[in-house]
Amino acid sequence: MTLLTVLLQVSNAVGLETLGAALGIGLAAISAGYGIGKIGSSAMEGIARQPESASDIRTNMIISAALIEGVALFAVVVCGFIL
Amino acid sequence: MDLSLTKNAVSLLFSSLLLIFIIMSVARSLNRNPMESKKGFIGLMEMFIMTINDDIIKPSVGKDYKRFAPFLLTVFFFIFVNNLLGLIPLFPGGANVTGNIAVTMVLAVATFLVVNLNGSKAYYIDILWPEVPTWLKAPIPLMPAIEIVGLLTKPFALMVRLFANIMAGHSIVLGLTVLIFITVSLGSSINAGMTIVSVIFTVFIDFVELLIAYIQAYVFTLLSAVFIGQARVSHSEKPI
Repeated sequence: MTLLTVLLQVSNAVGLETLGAALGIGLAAISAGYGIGKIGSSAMEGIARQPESASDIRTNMIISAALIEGVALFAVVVCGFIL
Repeated sequence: MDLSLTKNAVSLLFSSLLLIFIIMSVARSLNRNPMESKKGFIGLMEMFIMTINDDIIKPSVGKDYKRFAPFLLTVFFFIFVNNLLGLIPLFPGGANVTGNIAVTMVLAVATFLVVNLNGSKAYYIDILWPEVPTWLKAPIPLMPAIEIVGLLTKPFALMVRLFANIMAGHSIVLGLTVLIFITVSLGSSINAGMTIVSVIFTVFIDFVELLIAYIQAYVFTLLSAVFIGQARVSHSEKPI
C-alpha cells in the first residue's frame, strides 16, 4: 500500500515517463546481475570439477557474460531514449 | 554541409595514424627477418596478433580464414586502440570515438557487407528457402521473413553492444567527476569528502573500463568471425 503511495507521489513530481525509465533501468540491472551470477556459479562448478580445463571455461564464461551484458545495455540505451 | 573537424574526427585520424604506424612497423620488421624472434614492443605485438589469429579467427571462420583475417584483425585493433585512447584524459585521447553510434554503425555495416557478399550458396538457400515444413514458407513466407530479420538484427546487436558498453563507461566516469562540482555549494568539508570518494571510484571504474575495452573488441571480432564462418559453410559440410 505504501509502495503505491510513494510511486504515485513520484509520478506526480517528475512525470510518469521518468518513473518508467528509472524502473526499466533498475530491472535491467537486476536481470543482468542475476544472469551473469548464474554463469559465474556454473563456471566455478565446472572449474571445481576439472581444474585443468580452467582457462577454456574462463574464456567461454567471459564471452557469455559480455553477450548478456550487451542485452542489459540495450535496455539502458532504450530507457535513455525515453528519458 | 559542414565538414569542419570535430573532436571525434581528430581523434579518429590520430588513432588511425597510430594504428598504421604500429602495425606497419611490425610488418616491416617481419618482412625483413621472418625467422628471427622479435624482442620488445614488436615481439609483444606479434604475439598479440598471433593469439587473436589462432584463438578467434582460425577456429571460428574455418578453412579459408586467411582471406578474412585482415578484415577481422583490423576490426579488433581498431576497436581496441580506440577504446584505450578514450580512457586517457589528455589531448589526443579522451574523445569518445567508439561510444559514438555512427562509428559503431560503420563497423557493423562493414561486418554485414563482408558476411553477406561472401556467403555461400547453401547460406542463401538456408535463408530464403530453409528446410522447414512447406506451410511455413509457401503461400506466406514466414520462415524466410524471420531469417531476413535475423540477418539484420545480428549486426544491429553488434553495433548497440559496443556503443552502449563504451558510452556507459564514459557516462559513469563523467557522472562521478561532475559530483565534485555539484557538491561545491554544500560547504568545503562535504566537497573534500566527495572529492576523495569520487576520485577513488573513478580510478576503480577506469580499471573496469580497461577490461571492458579488451572484452568488447574481443566479442565484436569473435561474433564477426562466427558470422563469417556460418556464411561460408558449403553444402557438403552441413550437419544433417
